[in-house]
Amino acid sequence: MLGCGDWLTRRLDRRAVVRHTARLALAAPLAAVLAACGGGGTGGGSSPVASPVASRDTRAPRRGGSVRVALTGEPPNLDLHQTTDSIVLLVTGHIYETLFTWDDRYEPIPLLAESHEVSDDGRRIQVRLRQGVPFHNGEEMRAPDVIASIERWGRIVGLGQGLLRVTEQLSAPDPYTVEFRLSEPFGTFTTALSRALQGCAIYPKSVLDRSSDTHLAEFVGTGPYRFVEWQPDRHILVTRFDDYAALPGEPRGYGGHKAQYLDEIAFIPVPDEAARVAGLRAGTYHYLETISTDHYPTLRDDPNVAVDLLRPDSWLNVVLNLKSPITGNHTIRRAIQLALDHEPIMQAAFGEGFYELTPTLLPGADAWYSEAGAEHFNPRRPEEAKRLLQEAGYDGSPLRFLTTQEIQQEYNATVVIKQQLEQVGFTIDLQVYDGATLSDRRDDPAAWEAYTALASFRPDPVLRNLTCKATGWWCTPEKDELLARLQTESDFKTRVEIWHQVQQRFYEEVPRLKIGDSRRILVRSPKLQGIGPTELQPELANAWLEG
Amino acid sequence: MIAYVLRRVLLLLPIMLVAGSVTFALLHVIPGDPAAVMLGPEATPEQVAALRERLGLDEPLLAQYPRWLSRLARLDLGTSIFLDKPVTAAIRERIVPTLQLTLYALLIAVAVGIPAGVVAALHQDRLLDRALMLFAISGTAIADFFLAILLILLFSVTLRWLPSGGYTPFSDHPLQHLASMTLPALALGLSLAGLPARLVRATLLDVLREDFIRTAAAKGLMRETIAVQHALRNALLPAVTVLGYALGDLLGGAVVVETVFGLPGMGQLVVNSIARRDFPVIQGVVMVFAAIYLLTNLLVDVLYVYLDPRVRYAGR
Repeated sequence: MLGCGDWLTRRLDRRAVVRHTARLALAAPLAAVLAACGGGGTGGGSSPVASPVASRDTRAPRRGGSVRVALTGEPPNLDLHQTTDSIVLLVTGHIYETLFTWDDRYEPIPLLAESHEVSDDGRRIQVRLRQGVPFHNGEEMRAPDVIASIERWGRIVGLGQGLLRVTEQLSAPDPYTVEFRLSEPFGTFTTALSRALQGCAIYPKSVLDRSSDTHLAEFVGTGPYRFVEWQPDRHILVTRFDDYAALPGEPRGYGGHKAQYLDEIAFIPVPDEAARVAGLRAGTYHYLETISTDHYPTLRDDPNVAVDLLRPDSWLNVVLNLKSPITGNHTIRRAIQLALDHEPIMQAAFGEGFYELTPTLLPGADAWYSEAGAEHFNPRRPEEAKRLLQEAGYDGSPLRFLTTQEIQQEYNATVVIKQQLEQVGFTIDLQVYDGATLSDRRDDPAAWEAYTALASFRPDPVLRNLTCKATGWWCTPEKDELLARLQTESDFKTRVEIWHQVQQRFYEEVPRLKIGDSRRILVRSPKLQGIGPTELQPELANAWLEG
Repeated sequence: MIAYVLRRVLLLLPIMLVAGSVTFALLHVIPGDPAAVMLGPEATPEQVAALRERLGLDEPLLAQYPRWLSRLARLDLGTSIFLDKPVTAAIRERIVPTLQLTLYALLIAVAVGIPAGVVAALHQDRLLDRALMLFAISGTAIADFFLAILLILLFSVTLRWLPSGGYTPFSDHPLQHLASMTLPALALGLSLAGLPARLVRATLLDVLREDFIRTAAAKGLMRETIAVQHALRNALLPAVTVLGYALGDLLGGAVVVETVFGLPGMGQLVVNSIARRDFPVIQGVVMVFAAIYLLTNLLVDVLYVYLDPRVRYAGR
């Protein structure tokens, strides 16, 4: 589905979504490469992650300089195990490393691991660690550090809990080998231990011994940049780690060689969007974490600013509460599915040209593209919705729809959805809260029927939380069985098949409604070059500043 | 006088206790909790519940309140959930930029507002008067954050004279410090300057009609000399009162201006703490803001005696 040309605009930034015509943005930078690439593909194959910025870089990288990144706010902490907040990955992605990471086709490759070997029908996995990899505190990374990190991560993170549940024994046969003895195969082993929100960062055991599950004593990793200081609301400072054990060769997605051109990276919280944009134009910042596409028309023409239009990699969805007496009824959920017209919703949320309507639940991860259940995607049959509502005996009880104005795209979409649902006979009680209240309400199954949410990029379906525990509480034994198989199965083709079935069920059982895919813009100084992939936040380990 | 001040200081204690208790109750009534914010948008309810338990947030209010009170008695405001340090330490770090911003803004408001008021009064109903009053009213009418963005566009983006954000401590680099504080102080100070300008103009016009002014004029003194040396001190009294009370507005304005310019002050601290429901910090900052406000009011009352010897305190 996503073609060759799409890779040019592939960038991710968490909360921003693009809002202007794709045509305008794509025209200049893409024309040449589109010509070279030819037509679109069919969605089966994955596409490279190389950024448009990198692909245009013809000048030699320059060593030195300090980059200032404007963040949307303060990270809640700098412990990657602890939070799903992507701002933490943006900062700590430079400090910590994982055993595996993603190459430019979003396939797992070793990073701190040297290799891994699966034997005994998938029940024994040996990970060989790279030797001579120092932590920022001078200690060498060895098996006890890796085991302590995996154990802590496995206590905190859902995916880690899944891995440790099937792990009968986790041991270190020698200082550079970690061995898992599993009760059943865990096919997504390398995926689970790759770079991710709440990823399994490897911390020194000596630090973990002084830490708890909610508190990390020190921010020490093996990454290309070393933590220097965090002055809340002022900056987080990282500097080049001179003893960094860089892999030889070329950069490969989030892995491979890391050249560490920059001396220093400062992450500065600038909550006000207009101030972030003005700061970049004034030369104060070099990279902006998230910018609404409203700024696109003005920034595009500014010679002091480089704007990259990214390809869709996140999606807007309506989460339904399956524990509610109203939305727990499948017929009513079907009525909601039939009532909606996705085009105007996406237009209100993101603006013309800044969205796509595709049924895939993993936009941006082409290898997982699926049209399963597409017949139920955006059906636009309001008359049938009315009929189903009558059939379900809907008595006009208000459907409590939660939203927040803190994420304007979600709010705008919700307003249109409300109108469309009212037209077929639903009574909607729109409840607008601030972010923290919304998070709190969502956890209470008695407090709501629906809310809209932007779901961010995931390179693999096991990283997309569709389990019974996720809000909405989609619990059907068949689906849970499929998700479990998705985790244990190691054959890629079989996993893709299983994922198609999960997506089919998603559209038939209607636990959520996928509305559409959104695009974002990446805003940076034209001097900042060589930013790598951005779907899982950019890593500036190969970026440089032109003089 | 000393007895009066002491009595006023003692009276502050029950006021602070009421302010603190009301805040405590309000904070625990509003929904939202730090665990959910800490875990990010895609955490499961189960994870949130587990973290809430680990942080001790699931304790009933009745158990938390007495503990908070006993800590308060020892001037211990608790520990921040996010910053991982005592609230008093967090406030100590942040209060300096806020006090600097407030002080600079106040200086700008006084330096711009009072001369503007005097000049306007001396040119009553003429073009200069109208222009200055238009400026004064515009300053009050324009929202702080909007003025801040306009200043950034002019001085940072177009002219590139001053940084658009960030903070340099005075001890690190005095010049850079002043450069980083100029735009925030202007944004806050100019929006306040209209207040003393209009007030000084109005009261000066009243005072200029008094008998002793006529006497001074009869002595042959110049109109400007009369205004500045004889009339202004009398006209300043209401301006001092209003500026004292305007401190509340300044602290409120600082919250907004600090957010726009990314200054690590109390305003940013409280805004972020509210967004992430860092209860001990919100509580602590409210207490400190309340104390500053009450103490300033006291100071204004004491300043009255200095500026106007006719004012005497009852119960002396």
